[in-house]
Amino acid sequence: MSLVLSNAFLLPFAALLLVPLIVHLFARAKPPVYEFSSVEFLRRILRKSIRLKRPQSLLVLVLRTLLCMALVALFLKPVLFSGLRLGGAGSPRNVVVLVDATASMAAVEGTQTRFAAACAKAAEVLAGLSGNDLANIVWMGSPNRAEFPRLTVNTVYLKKALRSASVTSEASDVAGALALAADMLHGKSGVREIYILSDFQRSTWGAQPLAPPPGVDIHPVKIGRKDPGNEAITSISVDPANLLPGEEATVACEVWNFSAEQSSSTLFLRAGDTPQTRELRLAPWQKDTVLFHVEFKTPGEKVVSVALSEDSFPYDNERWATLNVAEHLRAGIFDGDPQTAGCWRRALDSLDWVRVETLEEDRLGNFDGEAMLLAGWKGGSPASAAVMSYLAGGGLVLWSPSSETTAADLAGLTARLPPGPALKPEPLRLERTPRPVHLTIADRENPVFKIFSDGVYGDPARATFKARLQLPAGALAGGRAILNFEDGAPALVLFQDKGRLLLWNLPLQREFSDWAAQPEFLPLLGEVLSHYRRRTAPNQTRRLVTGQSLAREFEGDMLDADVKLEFNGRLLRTVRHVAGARTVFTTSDARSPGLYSWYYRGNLLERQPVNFPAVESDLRTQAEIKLGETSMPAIPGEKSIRQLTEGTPLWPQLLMVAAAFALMEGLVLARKEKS
Amino acid sequence: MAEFKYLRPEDVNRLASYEFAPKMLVEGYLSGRHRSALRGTSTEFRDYRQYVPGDDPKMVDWKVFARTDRHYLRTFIHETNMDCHLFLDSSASMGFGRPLSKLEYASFFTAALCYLVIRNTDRVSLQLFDEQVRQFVPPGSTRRHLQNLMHVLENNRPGHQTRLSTALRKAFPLLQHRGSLLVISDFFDDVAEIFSALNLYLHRGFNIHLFHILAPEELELPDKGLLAFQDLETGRRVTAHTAFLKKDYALAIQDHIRAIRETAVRRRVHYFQARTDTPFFTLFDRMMA
Repeated sequence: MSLVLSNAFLLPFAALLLVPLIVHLFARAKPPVYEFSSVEFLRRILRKSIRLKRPQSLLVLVLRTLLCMALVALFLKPVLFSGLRLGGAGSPRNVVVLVDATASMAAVEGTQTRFAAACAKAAEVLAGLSGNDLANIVWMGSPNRAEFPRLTVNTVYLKKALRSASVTSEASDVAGALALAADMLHGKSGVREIYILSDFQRSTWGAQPLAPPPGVDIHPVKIGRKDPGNEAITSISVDPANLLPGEEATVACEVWNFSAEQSSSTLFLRAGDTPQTRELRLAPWQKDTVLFHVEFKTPGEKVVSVALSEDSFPYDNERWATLNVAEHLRAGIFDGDPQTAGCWRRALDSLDWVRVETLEEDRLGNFDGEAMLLAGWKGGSPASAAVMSYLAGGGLVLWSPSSETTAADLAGLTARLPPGPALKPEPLRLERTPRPVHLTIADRENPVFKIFSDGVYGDPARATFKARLQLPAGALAGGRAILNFEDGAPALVLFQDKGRLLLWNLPLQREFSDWAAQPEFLPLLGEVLSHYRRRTAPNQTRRLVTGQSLAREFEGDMLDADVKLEFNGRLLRTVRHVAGARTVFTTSDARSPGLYSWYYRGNLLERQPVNFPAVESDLRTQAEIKLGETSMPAIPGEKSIRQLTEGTPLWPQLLMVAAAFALMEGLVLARKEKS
Repeated sequence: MAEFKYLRPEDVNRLASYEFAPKMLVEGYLSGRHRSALRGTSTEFRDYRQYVPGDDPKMVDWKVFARTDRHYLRTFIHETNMDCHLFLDSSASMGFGRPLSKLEYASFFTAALCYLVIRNTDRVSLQLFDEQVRQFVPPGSTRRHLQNLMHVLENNRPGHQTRLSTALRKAFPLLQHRGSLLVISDFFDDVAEIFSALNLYLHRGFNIHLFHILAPEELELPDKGLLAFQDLETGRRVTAHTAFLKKDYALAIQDHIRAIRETAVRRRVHYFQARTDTPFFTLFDRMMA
């Protein structure tokens, strides 16, 4: 804060403050002498009252001095500047106004939205500029958008832009906006200022300190005074999102009560033809996860939406998800070991919900089915990158290593580690057991054994084995055995990350085991595929929120005219990129939450849900921002921006203070007189 | 009659209708018009008392002896002349007051008293005092004595500090006969001390009258703004605004007056207050009432 005296030339008159003191100290009355019979009574009265009168006199002196001070200060006309640097007074101003246009600014306070209030404040900032000053407006969102690429004197256009602007449903990129503003101010002479007009949402602004650009005055202006309560759906997920007809999927919704009061609402699920509702009661500042179970009879892309009953901030009351109901589960078999691959193929061919494909090692990366069965695959080859990518996409890999597989190859896939010195690059050894060994179930709680619990499907560990691979313990770190040999050696080991890798150490050759002939083999293999297959559709790995770029890949070279993107019956602008044999269409116009539909030559290809950014649902604000190591208090939005630039004249307050002192002096004198 | 300053002919004429006859018993040396506590030979019966050896047998009531076979004496109230002792405060504070100072006012009143007492052939003494007895005129009842008293009053000037209690104590041995004690003063002294000194006289049977003389300015401070009040007795100065002091002073002086009056009533002492702006005859009127 800075204080400037408008009439500083009157400062010498401040010496008048000494007048009452001098008068008090040096003025001595010389009253006439009056001969009186006895002054004893007078002395007694004075003695009695002097204890009271002297403090009163001092109080009167203090009040009079303060009154004189207030009057002198009144004539000096002080003006208070809060947070502005006065050193650049008279220099040209370069101003960037960052207007928060994110979703939380749509909150209504009083009769207008926070965004409308921010635009009004921005207009005040622009109104305070002179003809030579430069300015620009940056709308904060995802991405940040500037009205002009650089600063301009055309404030008329900027004011017009303020009038026509609308709030978005996007989250903010604060650091990006500040960097954009700093770029615009870079190299400009004169005063460089950034006005940030925002609600300073706690969930966004309280996260990390911002790096203030050097030599730039930052004026945060807080829009919004209260924290309106809000109830929001902050996430939706479907598991599995890639399912078969008749299979049950679970829709999980996270609902937050961002308010200080208990909330009561209804949650509506729309999935297919059967809507569902749930009554929900949430404690203040608490969340809950609501589960819905859905089932689809027919294959195809399905949309699930969950909506919340209406509240004061309705933008985050609905979320969408899509799921894929496939006619078949696609299982690709790499035939490195014909006997094992043959056993797998025969078993899976007998399941009508599985479609078996043959995989080539050099084309493993193209496979986007639900399960990849690698029989006699060595591993460690360049194809392992494709296998790892497939696993990262959530797929299931059932790997029966070949006799040439080394411990390092094994560890490269199981532990995602490069071959280390402890893992020798020697092939795994096929060990013949001195006597046939049985299997034991190592993980009885595993869901693949659930159907065997009542004995109808037999005993999954009934087979006997005469040989097996010797698996090095170091390569199995992080894995969980599902089946073991009776001597404890691992037979089926699960490595679970985003995807699932099942290490198959169960030789199916006739000379080594009789398991492929056991009736339990088929149901166990089916259960393994059913439970550990990829549960998400290939294009559902990325959850989109408003403001993010929407993209769709197509095989081959597509024309612009072939691909359309539609939202709420409106075609959106797309940008086409050709990347090798693929064509990617992107758009940055997905600014509203909802379902965006991709069309190829008029046929609906896919619907992509774009949801409200959850970070914008918590409407609580903060009164300061972190700039570097320090916290900077935001200027309350109720204050006039004009006062920030022109200062706040203090004469009305001083006049009131002077009047108050005069009144107090009068009261003290009256009391003195009375006593 | 020669003209005196404090006994003017018109006052004498007016005094003709007044009589100073305190309702009391006095101790005189002549049988006269005043009742005496001494049992004497008057005709007014006082009381019976048992005979003790040494009593005059003439006083025995033989009728009572005849009835009771016991010797009782009849006692009668003795009538005698009156000694009137005047104490006039002549301290510096009595010089206060315009156009008539308190001392002048008191002197007029004292002169009138002297005249009335001597006119009744009673004796009057006069003591002028400030912090001590400045002048003592023994009792007398002649015209010559009156003239002497008038000269004393005329030559009297305000003296020093008031010490009424001291003066009363010192004067006590000078009074040979009990009678009326009239103290004319502004009583600017400690009330308890004054009455402590008066106790001597009360025990001896004096009939005491206190005449409290005050100037109007002493009862109500004049509105003269800021003043340096200078004490006439001590010369001490107090600077204050009269408006500031007025109310409290009035309360204080009234408290003082009330204290004297209430103590006087408790001790059966007659108390009269007079302002110098009222005729001193009002004092006689109130005494007669």
